[in-house]
Amino acid sequence: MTSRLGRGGPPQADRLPCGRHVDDLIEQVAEGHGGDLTEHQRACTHCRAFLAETATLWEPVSALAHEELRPPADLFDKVITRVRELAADAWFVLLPNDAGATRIAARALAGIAQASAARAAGVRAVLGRSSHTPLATAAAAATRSHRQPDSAVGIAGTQVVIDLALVTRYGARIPDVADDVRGRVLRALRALAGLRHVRVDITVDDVR
Amino acid sequence: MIEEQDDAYLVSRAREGYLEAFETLVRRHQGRAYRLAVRLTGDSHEAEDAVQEAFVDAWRGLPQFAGDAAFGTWFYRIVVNRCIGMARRRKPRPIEIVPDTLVADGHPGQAVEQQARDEALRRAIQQLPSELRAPLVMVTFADFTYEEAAAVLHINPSTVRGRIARARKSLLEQMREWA
Repeated sequence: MTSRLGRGGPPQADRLPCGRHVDDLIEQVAEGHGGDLTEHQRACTHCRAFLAETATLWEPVSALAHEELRPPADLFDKVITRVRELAADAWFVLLPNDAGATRIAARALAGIAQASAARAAGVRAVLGRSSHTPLATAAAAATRSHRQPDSAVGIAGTQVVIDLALVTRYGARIPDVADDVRGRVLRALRALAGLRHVRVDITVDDVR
Repeated sequence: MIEEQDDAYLVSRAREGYLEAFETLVRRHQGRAYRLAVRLTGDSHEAEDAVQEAFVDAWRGLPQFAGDAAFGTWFYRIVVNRCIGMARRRKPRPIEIVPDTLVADGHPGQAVEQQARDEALRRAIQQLPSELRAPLVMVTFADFTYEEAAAVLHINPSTVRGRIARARKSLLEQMREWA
C-alpha cells in the first residue's frame, strides 16, 4: 500500500489522487465514522485504502480513549480539605455587587469589633492582633495555648465569625458584659461594614 | 436538591461562602478534569495534583470569576494551564506504564508488543507541542466539542480543528512504526 503518511514514500500530500483532503478522511476515522462511506468513497480505491490504513493506525488511540479513567477515590476529600482550610484562613470578607465586589480585610473587621467591644461597660481589655496594651499583651500571653493570634475573625464568603477574648472588670456580671459586647459588635459591623451574617463568640480570659 | 442546580447557581452560592455548593461543583467536574489531566500530563500522579490545585485555584479565584463565561470553560482552562505548566517544568522521565496493559489476551509476545505500542502512543501524545496537544486531548480523550475546546483555549473553532488535524497527522506518523 502506498502510504500518504509514511516517511520513505512520496512527498506528503494533503490530497489523495482523487482530490479528497486527507485531513477530512483522518477526521472521519478519528471521530468513529470510518465505516460510514460516502457514495464517492464506496467507489474510490484511494479513499478506501486510505481510510483502511488510517483506521488501523488510529485503533490504539481509540482504545486509549475508551480506557476507563476514574479520579482517585480520595481526590474529592483532598480538594475539600484544602478548600475548608482556605475558607477558615480567608483574610477578607467579600461583598459581591452587580457593579463590582467589595473586600474588607479581616484586620479591619477585627478593628471594628475591638473598638466597639471596648466601649462596653465592664470591659477592661479586648484581645486582638492590633492590640498592644500591656494588659492585652499579658492576657494574650496567658491564653496563647488555646488561641491562635489570627483566629479572631473567621470568614467564609459573606459569613463572618468574630472570636473576641475579653478581660472584664472585677464586679461586672460576665453574662451581661458578654451580651452588651455582642450587641455592640453586631451593630457596629452592620452599620460600618454592611455585614448581616455575623456570629460573635466571646471568651472571657481574665478578670481584673 | 443542590445536586440538581446548574453551575451558575452553584457558583453564585459558592461565592457567598457556601462550601456545599462548591462541593457539588467538584463532584460534577472532577471526572472530566481528571481524564483531561491524565492525558495531558501522561502521569496519573501529576494529573491528580493538577486537578487538586486547579480546584483550589478555582475556589481562590471565585471572587474574580466574572460569571460572563460558563464555570466549566473557566475551570477547564485552569486545568489545562496547570497541566501544561507542569509538563514544561518537568525533567524528561520515562512514561508511566499502567500495569493492566501488561495483561493482554493472546500470546505473551503480543502483550509485550501492545504494551510497547501503547507506551509509544502515550509518549507521542506527550511530545506534541502544547498548542496541538491541548485541543487534541480535549476532543479525543475528554469529550469536548470543537466549540467547547475553542472557548476553553480562547481560540477559534476553526483553529481548533486545524490544530487537531496537525496533531492527528503527527500521531499517525508515530504509530506507523507499530503498524
